[in-house]
Amino acid sequence: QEADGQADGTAAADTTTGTKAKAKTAQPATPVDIVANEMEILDKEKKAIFRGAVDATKGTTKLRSDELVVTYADVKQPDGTTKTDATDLDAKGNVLIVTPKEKITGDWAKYDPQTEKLTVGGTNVRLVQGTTVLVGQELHADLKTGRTQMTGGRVKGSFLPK
Amino acid sequence: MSSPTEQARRAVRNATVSRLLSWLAAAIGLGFVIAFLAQAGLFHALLPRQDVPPPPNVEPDRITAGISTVNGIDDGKQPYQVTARRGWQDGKTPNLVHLEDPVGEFRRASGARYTITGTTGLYDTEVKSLNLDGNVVLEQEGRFKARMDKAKIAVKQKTLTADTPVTAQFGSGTVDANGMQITDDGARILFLNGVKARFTAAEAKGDTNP
Repeated sequence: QEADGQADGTAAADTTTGTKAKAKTAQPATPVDIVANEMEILDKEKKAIFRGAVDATKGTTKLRSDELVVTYADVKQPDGTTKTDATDLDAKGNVLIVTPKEKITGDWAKYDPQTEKLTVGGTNVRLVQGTTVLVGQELHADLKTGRTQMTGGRVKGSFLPK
Repeated sequence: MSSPTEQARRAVRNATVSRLLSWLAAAIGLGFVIAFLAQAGLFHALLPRQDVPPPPNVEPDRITAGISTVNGIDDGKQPYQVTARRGWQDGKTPNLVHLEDPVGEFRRASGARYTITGTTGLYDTEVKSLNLDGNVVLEQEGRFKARMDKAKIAVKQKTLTADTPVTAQFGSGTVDANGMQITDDGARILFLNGVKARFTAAEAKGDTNP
């Protein structure tokens, strides 16, 4: 049974799952593992570009794409050393994002690790969560609150009532 | 006047003396001939064979100068220096210098310093290239350290190419690859032929997983 989007073309499918707010304690950062055919570091632009069958994993979240550009910045550590920290992830081409709860596909994706906000775009962005499927042109997900919004043009969603 | 018998005795004595002299002359002559033949090596085969000592193993000329140092200015107008515990010129190709425990020091336009070390090296004074072999370690102050088996450095252009597995350690992570190229005064580092990277972000507060 397909439900049309609202009149102004945006549908807010609030899929907040009511995640309990976790106590904000400093936890060791989860490492990010990235596998690709090649990687290029552009020091002047502070970018690291991964090309060819890119497969990035952080904890239980996996991102696959043809290319991934990581913009980084130097962060002064408490002990005075300098660490580089990713400030922006930009994936292009055959983007697939898999989390324990959902699977998202699109042509490109942008993720800001600081705000934990993800945007996936393309002609046919698709979010599959269990039996729920949302199709549209641009998906906005706030990974902190778990809130996902599909915007841009006609949005189609299919829900299987329990 | 001497009597006929004295004459006869003198004649006999002369005859004997002349016979002795002729024998002597013959012996001397024979001696000369033998000496000549011996000189000519004719009797070589008869003499007992002596073990001819092997010809000394003459190594090619080595111009060895204790601590070898090469200094120069690269295309970015920055000084570079290559020192080695020992260096010697190649026997056949004079523009090649073999180096032991070479250390290369370069500087980026930003002032940051690079050092690269290896077990052995080959420096080409004509094309200004340095090929390092064995336990090659490249380090840029406070940025990263990379380890590989071999590396080719174009000294003037400050480019580096490694076609063997490389492990690079950065402040925030590690990269393993099967090749590496450094260009643009060290500002571009390309890891090739399959890359595995692991990064740990700075301590994040409340790292919540979706």
